Amino acid sequence: MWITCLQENMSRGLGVVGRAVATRATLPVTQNVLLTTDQSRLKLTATNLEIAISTWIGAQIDHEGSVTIPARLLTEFVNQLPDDKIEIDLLDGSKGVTLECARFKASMNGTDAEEFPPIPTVEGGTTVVVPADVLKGAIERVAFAAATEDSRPVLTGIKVEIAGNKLTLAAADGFRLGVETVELVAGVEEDMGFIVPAKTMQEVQRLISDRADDITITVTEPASQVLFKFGDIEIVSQLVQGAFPDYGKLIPASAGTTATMKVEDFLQATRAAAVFARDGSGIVRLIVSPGEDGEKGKVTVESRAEEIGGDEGEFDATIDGDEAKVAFDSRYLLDVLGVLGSGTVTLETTTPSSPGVIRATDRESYTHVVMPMFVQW
Amino acid sequence: MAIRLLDDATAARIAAGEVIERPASVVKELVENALDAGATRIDIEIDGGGSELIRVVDDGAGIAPGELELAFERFATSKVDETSDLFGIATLGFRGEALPSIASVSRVEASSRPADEDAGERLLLEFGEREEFGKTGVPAGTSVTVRGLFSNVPARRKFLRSPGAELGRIQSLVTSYALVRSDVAFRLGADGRQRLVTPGGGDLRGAVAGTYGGRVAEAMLELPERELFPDGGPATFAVGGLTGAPSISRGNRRFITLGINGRWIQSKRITYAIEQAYHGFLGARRFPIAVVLVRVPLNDVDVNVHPAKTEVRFLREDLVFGEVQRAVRSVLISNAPVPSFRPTAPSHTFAGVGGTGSVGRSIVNAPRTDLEQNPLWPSRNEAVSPGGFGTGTDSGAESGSTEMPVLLPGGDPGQTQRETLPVLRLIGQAQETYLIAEGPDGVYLIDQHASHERIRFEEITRALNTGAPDAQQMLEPEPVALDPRQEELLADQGDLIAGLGFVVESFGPGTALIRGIPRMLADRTSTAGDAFRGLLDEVASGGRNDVWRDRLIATLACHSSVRAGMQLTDDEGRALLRSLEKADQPHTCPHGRPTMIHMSQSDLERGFGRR
Repeated sequence: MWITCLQENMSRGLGVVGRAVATRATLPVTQNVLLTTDQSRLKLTATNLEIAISTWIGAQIDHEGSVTIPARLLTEFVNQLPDDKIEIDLLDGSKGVTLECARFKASMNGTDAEEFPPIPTVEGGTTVVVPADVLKGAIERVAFAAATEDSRPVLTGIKVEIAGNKLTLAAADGFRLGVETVELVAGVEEDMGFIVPAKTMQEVQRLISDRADDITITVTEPASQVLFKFGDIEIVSQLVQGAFPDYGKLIPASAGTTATMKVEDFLQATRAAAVFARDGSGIVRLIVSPGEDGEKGKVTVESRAEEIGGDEGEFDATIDGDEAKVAFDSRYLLDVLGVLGSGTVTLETTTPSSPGVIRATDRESYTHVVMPMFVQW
Repeated sequence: MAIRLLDDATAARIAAGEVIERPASVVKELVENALDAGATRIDIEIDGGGSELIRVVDDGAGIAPGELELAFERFATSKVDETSDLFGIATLGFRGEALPSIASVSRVEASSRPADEDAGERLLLEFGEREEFGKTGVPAGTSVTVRGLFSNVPARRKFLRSPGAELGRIQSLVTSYALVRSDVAFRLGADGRQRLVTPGGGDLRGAVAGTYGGRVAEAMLELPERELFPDGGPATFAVGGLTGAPSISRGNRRFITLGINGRWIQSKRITYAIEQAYHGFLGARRFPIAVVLVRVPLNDVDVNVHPAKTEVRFLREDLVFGEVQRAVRSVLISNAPVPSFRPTAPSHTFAGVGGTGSVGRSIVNAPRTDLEQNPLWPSRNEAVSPGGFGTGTDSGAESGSTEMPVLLPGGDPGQTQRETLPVLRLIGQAQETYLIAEGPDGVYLIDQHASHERIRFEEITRALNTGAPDAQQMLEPEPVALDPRQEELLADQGDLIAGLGFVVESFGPGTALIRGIPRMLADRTSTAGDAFRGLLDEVASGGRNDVWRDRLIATLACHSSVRAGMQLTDDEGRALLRSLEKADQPHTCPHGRPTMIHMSQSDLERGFGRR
C-alpha cells in the first residue's frame, strides 16, 4: 500500500484541481494530475502552464512517492466509487497506480512525476490578506468587463492595485470598465500593481465557494507570478505583462444628469428592450426625463429593430439634472445590472457621446463605465 | 520628315526616362549614391511630393575637387573601371546615368566636400546646362537639391500622381532602404513634417520602430543569422533579419522588405518564399511584415538586369528560396504557439478508402469562376420543392426554423437572383473551421468564416441602405499611425469610412484618432487600429472608386466574422446556418470563394460503393 484516503476527499480534491487540467494536449503530461505525498497529506496538482492549482487532502501515508495519472480517467473513476476508503498503490517505477475501494479494483497507467512541469514557487515577494467573501464579490462585479479575445493581451487581465490597506480591481475590454476597491485585512507599506489573467481570477472566485477564510495573495518580486492561498488550496498563475490603461482618467469626474433607480426596474426594462435589440443591432436607447413640478422623473428604455418591431418601457427614477439621451449596447447594461443584484443604482450621463457611469448606491467603492453607441436620435 | 540624329539635350531627356520615372526614382538614385559614398547619416527632405523639391544630404566621402562637374556627365562613374568589373559589383550604382539624367529634367544644386579638404565645390545646373560653379564652404559630405522636376518635360509631369501618392512611394522607398541598411541613420521629412527617423548603427529593430512604429517593432521575431556552406566553401551565404509575429499581419505585400548584400531588392520568388512560410499562420489575403536580409557571394548574383536595379538574378535561386522559407518558418514555429489548424492543399477527393479512381470524384477541382457549372453546387435558381425538406430532415430541437428563405426588405429582388439554400440540420463542427450539416440531399461542409462573411456583408449592405451606422464608442480613443497613402485615402474616402461606423478624427500629421468602431467589430476586437488599417490597406491595394464601397464592406465583414479556428457552440453553429439560409447569395463569400461543399446523396452512395 502507498496511501489510503477517503473517496469523498479524493473526489472533492480532484474537482478543485480539475479546472487547471490542460484541455489541449500541447504537452500531454499536463492532462494528468500529479499525486504527491506531502508530510501526512496527499497533494493533488494540475496545471495548464498558465495556471496551477494544488490542494491537499487527508490521507494515511505508508511511504513517500509521487506519480501523474490522466486527470479525466482518475476523476471519472473516483466519482463512480462508493463513499469508502480508497487504497492506492504505486506500480513499479512510479509508472501508474492501482486503486482499491470497497469491491472495486482498478489499475491506471500514468507517467513518472519527473515529467510533470515544475510548478513555480512563489516565495518572498509581497503578501496581502483579504477576506474571501469580499474578494469573491469584487471579482464577480469586475471580471466580466475584461476582454475575452486577446488582440490586446493586457485587457484580458484584471489590474490589481494595492495601496496601504486597500486593494483595487479593475477590468476593461475597450468599451467598458469595472473598478472596485476593497479593504485588506493586512496591507502593505509599499504600493504595488500587477495584472492577473481574468481566467485565474474567475477560478479563484469559483473555488472560494462559501469558504469564509481569508485569502493570502503573494506576488513575486519582480512581479511575474501570483499565488492565491486559502484553506487547503493554492493557485499559482502567470501575470500578464504590459501597461494597463490609466483607468482613473476614464471615469468622468462629473455628470450633467444623474438618475437613481431600482436595479430590478432598470434590469426588467432593459431585458424587455433587448428582446428586440437582439435581432437588430443590440442597441437600447435611454431617455432620462426629470419630473415636472416636483413629480417623480422617469427613464424610458427603447429598442427598434428594422423589419421586426420595437419596444418602449419606462420606470420611475429620481432625476438630478436635465433631460438626457444616451444609447448603449444592451448586453453591456445587462452584464453590469446582472451582477448588482438588488438595491438601487445611479446612472450618470451628460451627452449622448459621453460615458455612462453606473454605481450601486450601497457600494461606494464600485464604479462601472459603459461607452455609449453613436446613433441617430 | 527627314531622319536625323537627336541633339544631346533631347537624347539625354529621353534617356532620363529610363532611370528617372518619377520623384521616387530621383530619391532612389541619390540615396544609393549616398550609400555608395559610405554615408552613416542620410537626410531627405521632400516638398510637394518631390516635384517641388528633393534634397538628399549625406555625410559620406564627398566628391573630390574638380570632379563635381564630371559627375554630371553621362556614363561618368567612380564605381566601375572596365566591363569585367560588372560582375562582382558591391556598390549600388554603377551605370553612371543617374546624375546626368536627373540634371537634364530639373534644376539641380549640388555641393560636396571630402572630409580632408578645406573647401567644397558647389554646382548649379538648369536642365543639364551649367549655371554657376565655384568653391564654397559646406559640411563634409554631399548635398544634392533637385527642384522643379520634369518642368521641362510636361508630358511626364502630367503622369505624376497626387503629391500624397508620390510621397507615399518615396516614403515606402526610403523605408525599404532604412530597413535594409540599418547601419545608416535615415531621416525623411516632407513639407516640414518628419516622416521617419531611424537610429542607424545597425539597430534593425530600431529601424523598424522608426518606420513602422514601436508596436510593430516589439512584435518582430529575430531570424537567427545562420550561415550556409552550400559547397563546403566559405561562409558567404546567410539569412537574417526580423519577421513579424502572425499577430501583426497586413493586407498587402508592401511590408515585406528584402535585402541582398545590403542592397534593397524586389523578388517575387523570395517574397513568395516568405509568404509560404506563413502558410497556416495568417488568414487568406493577409501578408506578413518582414525584413529579410540575405547575404550571398558577390559573383552569385547579377544586379545588372534592369536599369532600376531592384530586380536581381541569382545563380542558385532555389537555395536562397529554400533557406529563406526555412529560416522564417522555423522562427514562427518556435515562437508562436498557434492552434494546430493548418489548411491543406485542395486535393480532397472523396474516393472511398481503397476505391478506384473511377469511383472518386474531385469535389473542389472546378474553377472558382465556374461555380454554376459545378455539378456539386446547386445551380442558381435551382428549384427546391418545399416538400423536399422541412419534413423529417429537421430535428425537433429546431422547430420553427423550417421557414422558407424569405426576401428581406433592403435586398433587391429585381437585380439579385436568389440562390436558394435548403434548410440544413447542423451535425457538428470539424477542425474548428467547418460546419457539417445535413440537407434534404446529402451532406454540406460549410466554411464558417466564409459563410459568416457573406452574412455580414449582406447585413452591413442592408444597414447602410436603411440608415446610419451603429458605432460603438471606445473607452480610450486609439491613435493609429498612417502612411501618406493611407492618409490621402482617408481624406478622399472619409465619408464612406465614417458611413461604415468608424468615428475617426485627425490627430496631427500621420496619425488618426479612432473614437468609435462599427458595432459588429466590437465583438471581435478591443483594438480598433488593426481593423482600421486593414480596411485602408485593402482599399490601397487598388480598385476603382465604384467598387470601393463593396470592398470596404467586404473587409469590414471579414474583420467582424468568426474566424477559422474558433470553436462554435451548437447554438452558434445553428444560428449561422439559419442566417446563411436567409442570405441572398449563400454560396460564395464576398471575395468569391465558395462557402460550402455539397456532397449529394448519390455522390455519397457512389463514394461508398453502394451503387
